[in-house]
Amino acid sequence: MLPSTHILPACLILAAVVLSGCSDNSLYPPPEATVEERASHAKRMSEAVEVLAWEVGRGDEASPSPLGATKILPGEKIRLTGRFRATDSSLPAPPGVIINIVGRNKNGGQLIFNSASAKVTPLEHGVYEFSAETKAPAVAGMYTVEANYQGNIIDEQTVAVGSLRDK
Amino acid sequence: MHSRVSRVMPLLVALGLSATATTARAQTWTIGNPTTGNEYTNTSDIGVDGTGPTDGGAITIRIKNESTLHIMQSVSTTVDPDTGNWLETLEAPNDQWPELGNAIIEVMKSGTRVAWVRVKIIDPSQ
Repeated sequence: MLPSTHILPACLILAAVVLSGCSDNSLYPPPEATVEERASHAKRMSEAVEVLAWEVGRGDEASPSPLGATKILPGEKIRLTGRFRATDSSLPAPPGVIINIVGRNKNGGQLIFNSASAKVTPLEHGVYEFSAETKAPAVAGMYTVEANYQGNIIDEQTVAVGSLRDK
Repeated sequence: MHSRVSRVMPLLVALGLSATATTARAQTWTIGNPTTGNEYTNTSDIGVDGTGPTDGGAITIRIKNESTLHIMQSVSTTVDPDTGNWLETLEAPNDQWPELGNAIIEVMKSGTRVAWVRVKIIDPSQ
């Protein structure tokens, strides 16, 4: 038997393994991806997210309320939860997001009042959830709650933080 | 037999070189959030995420005062070996950062700084 007949099956198996690996890795930035390729991939992933609902749990409340329709007290412990689905099935859901509570500084610029990491967990029917415990800003006012995946804002909501007299 | 070895060897050598090249190029680290220029209040926790090589392993995320190099907070986490992603929260110690001003958030791997960003910590009441 010629040596090439031994090598051919080996090459076919090798090619199958390589192609199989490419298929899996196509979901994520491959190990050799450059910084630019990773950033581009993160942007695509963040754009393939449709946020369905935001909720807030205040203090030790058992049942959360819709964010935006709930008045939050300054400095109170809150749990922010978001649910979303991926609109592009060829891309995976982000493995985690950062939740930022953003207000304004004295010059009108953006000031982050709190920030927390939240791992993404799958629910049913292609819906995913992220949730993190954090603290409301100490000063009453209007704020933006944003979900951020590696520097890309995937969704934002306006929330009101009321004064303690509203309690 | 000799001819078989001589045909297989270049393939193995090529594969070996390819693997080495991949490992060398994999040493890219990014911080996605926060980004340089972000401003945080002095009582804010800071959520940090990014990507690294997919060889997994432990990393340390820390924030330090840019002027004094005082390390305000340091946490350890692991890189997801499948995706290269990492995710962590730096907590404001005692609800009060000990020092304000420009700060550096950096990712340390085996004692080497592999990525960093500059942020600002301010007291909104002043």
